[in-house]
Amino acid sequence: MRIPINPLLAKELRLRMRTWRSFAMVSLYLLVLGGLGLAFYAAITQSIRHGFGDLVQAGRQLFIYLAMLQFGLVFFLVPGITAGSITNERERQTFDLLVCTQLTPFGIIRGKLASALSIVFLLILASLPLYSIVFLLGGVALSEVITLFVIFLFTALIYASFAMMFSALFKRTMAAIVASYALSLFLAWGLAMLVAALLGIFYRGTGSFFGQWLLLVHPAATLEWLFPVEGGELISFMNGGRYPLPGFLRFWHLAALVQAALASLALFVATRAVNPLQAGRRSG
Amino acid sequence: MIRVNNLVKQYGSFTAVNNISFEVSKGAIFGFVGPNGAGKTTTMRIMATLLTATSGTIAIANRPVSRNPREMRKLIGYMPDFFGVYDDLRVSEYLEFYGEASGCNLAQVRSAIPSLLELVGLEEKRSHFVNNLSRGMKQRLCLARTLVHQPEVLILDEPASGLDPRARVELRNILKELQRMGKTIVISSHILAELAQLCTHVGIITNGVMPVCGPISEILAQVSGEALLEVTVLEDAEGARIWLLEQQGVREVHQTNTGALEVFFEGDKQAQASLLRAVAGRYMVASFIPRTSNLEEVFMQLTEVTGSADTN
Repeated sequence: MRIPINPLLAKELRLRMRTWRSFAMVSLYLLVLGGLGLAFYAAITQSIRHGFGDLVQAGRQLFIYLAMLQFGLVFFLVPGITAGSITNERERQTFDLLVCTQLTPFGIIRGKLASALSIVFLLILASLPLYSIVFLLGGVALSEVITLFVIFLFTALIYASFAMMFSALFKRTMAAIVASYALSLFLAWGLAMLVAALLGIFYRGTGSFFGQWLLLVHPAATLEWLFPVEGGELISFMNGGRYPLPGFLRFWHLAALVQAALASLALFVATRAVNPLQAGRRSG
Repeated sequence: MIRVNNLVKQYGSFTAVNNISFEVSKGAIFGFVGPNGAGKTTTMRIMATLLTATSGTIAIANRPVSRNPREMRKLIGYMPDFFGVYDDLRVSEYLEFYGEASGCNLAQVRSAIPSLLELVGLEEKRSHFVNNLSRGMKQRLCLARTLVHQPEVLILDEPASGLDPRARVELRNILKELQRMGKTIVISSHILAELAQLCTHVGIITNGVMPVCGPISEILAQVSGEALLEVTVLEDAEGARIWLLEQQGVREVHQTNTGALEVFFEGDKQAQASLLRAVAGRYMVASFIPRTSNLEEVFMQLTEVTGSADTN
């Protein structure tokens, strides 16, 4: 019995796993994450030995450190993994053959997106044993690790969608990669700096600051789910010390909705761009 | 099987295809001939549901291709002029992927692969990586790919380009076999002599228009008008040349390096037979060969006419 699977996804997985690049990527990823994680672990155990903090605190700090590190790595890798999805088919001259099949434009985008996300999923899964160190120290619940992984996958989905849009719109992989990283970096760093600048110019420490809503599209906004206290404090700071949303509604709820809406729009644009009958091209 | 009706494709102010119409009957091999940029690929891409027409229609099996492109793709096997392959897939995996992507059941595809590979002469290469195939083999593999979902119509854009003579002959034999299997084939090529041997019908397209279209024999007769006869006499070739020039319908006579006489003659088959009888009565005729124009000459004639018309 064979599980029905998008043929494009099956092909992509086969091709990806057949080359040394995927294994090299996973190995390097674990090496960086594990190396930096161990260095941090060594530093905090050293400070405990000198009487600063305890093991539970160390476990919590290590978890936060690993979470931020991995968030950054996932965020950094996703555009690179995804931006070549469609452009590679064009450059390899297999795109026309692909659209001549029964795969719908959305089926092509879905297969490619699933393929890119499967790599991210593999990276996250491979990093799981690293988190066992956190459990040895304590201070972190299993639900928090699961929440973190859901946030990783969500962020990967959002930024893979943006990269997919550029991949479908551009003819060259390099152009798609540059555009994907430019957008990702703008949303991560540019936006934060913009909000900080606006905060410095317009915010007087009381009342509501309009710039906080720009952070809805910031990739780290959804981390408030995992770190409600720290996230809540930051949001409240920009709102005169008061949380800007009523009742159970949290900032990350809105952020997830806005980001999901933008990603859907990006996928819609990508789907249109891979439909040959909607994108007129000149041939000989 | 295929009906192209007043097809127009414009890119801004540039008209790539200008009001062309033709029909291809079921089981025919239709050759699409034209210089680069004439509009062949554009027409074939519209046929293959990869482009929309500015106006006009293409219908396959009485269904307009623009109405439900996805459904039409089940009927069409398309091979573009330039195509790539997934080098890291095995030959069988490559066909399985396209078979499944074309909506076929994997078990069905797997059972069809041996016969497909046998048809294109790649049965020995089933487990080889595509990367290790020669260009000709990749071309044949791509042909097998177009057949994997058992389409009724094959649209092949320059399938023989870049192939060595042996590979071209092999490809021609495969296409003939496909015709025997009842496939309708539209093929474009620059190698006109091969199209003449392969195709039942030809359409010559130049600058987006198709001045000539129909069965090959009709086209040759329609365009040439004048027959070229090659006459070899065993003695007194010069006398024969002078005598031939005096005959009705003979416009010009040249003696070639081999000693044969090239006679430019205006007249039907009966007039040719009368000339043969007359010349054989006076001279020892070793051979009398009517050499009709070939597709290449017709093509040159047409494209030159269009080219000079453009200049004027």
